[in-house]
Amino acid sequence: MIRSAPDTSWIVQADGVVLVNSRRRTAVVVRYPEAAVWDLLTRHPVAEVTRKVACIASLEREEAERVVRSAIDQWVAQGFLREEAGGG
Amino acid sequence: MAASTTTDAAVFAVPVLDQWLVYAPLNEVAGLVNGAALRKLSGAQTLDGKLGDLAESLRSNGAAPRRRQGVARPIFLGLIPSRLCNLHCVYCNFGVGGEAPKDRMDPAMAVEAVDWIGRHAVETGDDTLAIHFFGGEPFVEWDIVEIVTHRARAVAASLGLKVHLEASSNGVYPEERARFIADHFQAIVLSFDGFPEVHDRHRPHADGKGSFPEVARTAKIFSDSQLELCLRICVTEQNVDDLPEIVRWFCTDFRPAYIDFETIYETDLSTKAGLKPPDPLRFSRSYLQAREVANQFGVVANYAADLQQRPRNSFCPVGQDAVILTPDLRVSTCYLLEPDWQARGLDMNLGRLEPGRGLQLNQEALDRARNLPLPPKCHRCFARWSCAGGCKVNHSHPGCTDELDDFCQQTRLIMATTLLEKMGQSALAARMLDDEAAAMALAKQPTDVLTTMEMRA
Repeated sequence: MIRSAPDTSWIVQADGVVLVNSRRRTAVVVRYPEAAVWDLLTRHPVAEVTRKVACIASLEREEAERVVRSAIDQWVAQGFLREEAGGG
Repeated sequence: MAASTTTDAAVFAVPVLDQWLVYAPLNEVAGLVNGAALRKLSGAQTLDGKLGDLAESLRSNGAAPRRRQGVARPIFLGLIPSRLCNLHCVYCNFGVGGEAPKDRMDPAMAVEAVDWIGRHAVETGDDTLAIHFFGGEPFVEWDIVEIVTHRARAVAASLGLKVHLEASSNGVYPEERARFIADHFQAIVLSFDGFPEVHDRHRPHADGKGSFPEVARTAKIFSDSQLELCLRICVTEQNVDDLPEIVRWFCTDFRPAYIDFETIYETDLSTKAGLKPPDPLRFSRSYLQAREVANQFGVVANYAADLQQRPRNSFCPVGQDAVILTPDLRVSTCYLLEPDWQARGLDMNLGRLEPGRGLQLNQEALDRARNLPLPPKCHRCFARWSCAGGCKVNHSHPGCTDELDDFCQQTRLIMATTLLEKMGQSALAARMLDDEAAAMALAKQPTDVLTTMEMRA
């Protein structure tokens, strides 16, 4: 199960999204296709996010999986996401 | 007196109580004169003084708006993810169990269309990638909405374009979706027919339950966001007298930028539901009062056929190179159902989306859509360059009546009032609207063309 961290907020901008961690006082600008990954993760399980990102970015499924996984790992490391046991 | 019925007149005149509003739309000049002055203006003699100045202003040659030519420059890409709808509005044939086709657009094809409009915008020097979702209810097809939204934003960012996402919607979906729309769209036209009793009668779910609570919640979410919110009221006999109070409530409880007013088109469905279009004078009076209320709140009230900032050839996407992709991959210039315009003898198809090749437009079809003729009555009407005939399918289609119907009459009353208000003659306009005989004389005058109209002392 992937959730945004409790101290994380985000702002949708014209060309992507800005992630803000108020506790760590950090912010990162996320561009496409990762901006779509962030938005979709707030509503869908990873498998569904991957399917949609493949279509949005015209990627083969394996490449879409790599993009999604890489983004999740990065945001977990930066404290924007929490990955918890169970679920998608 | 013989009237020329097919040529465009430069100067029109309509009666306003015991005076005449003379108007040259292409020069954007209007004046108010008495009967004697009107007779002089309609003649060929040279006039002196103020009347001479007015005559000169009226008769100078303003240019008609140019029709589009050559390669398509779409005002937007329209996407119809499906014709399905989750409501069962009693006046609409798109809803649950309705007559609309049941097919859905393939997301990969929608993506291809987005790429095409992005490339086309760059090639034609536009600075915006504009997409407008229509339905049915477009947000029923959520998968496509999410994919297209992100694809459009990604393509626009990569090409250095602004993105404009807009949709016409019923507002009935979960809060989470409304928040996504609020975050990612630039404009929404939200159908909202007013107070609960009438809204729920007009726009129920399939089980008969009203949709008011969901629509009000969605309107609140949109009001708290950056998007430009337009609330669209379908006006019937049921809500026509409430328009000023509806607008006051909308402006107090929500944050619309615009409020659109559309009178219902009489169809078999609307008749079966017991709904009738409002009387044109009642609608005009109520709309104009509602407009005053909206003005007090800094909100724009809009009747689509009213006076525009500039003369125009069309009041809708038709003729403006809009390319609207249907679920079966046809490209049309009109978002209405194909059988509806076919029944009027019209062909609104422009081409097809061909996988791997993008939108393939037929130049002949494009030119046909740009040059749809107006019925004779429009050429005699002073609102001709603003109303531009209204809906080409439901109002000014081939073979339509040459009578000034309810839509014509209300448009003429509203247009005259707008012109008079701009001239500082609001009190005169109000007196005209209060006097039913005077209002009907204006609304029903068969020709406004100054040189051929029947004179009144």
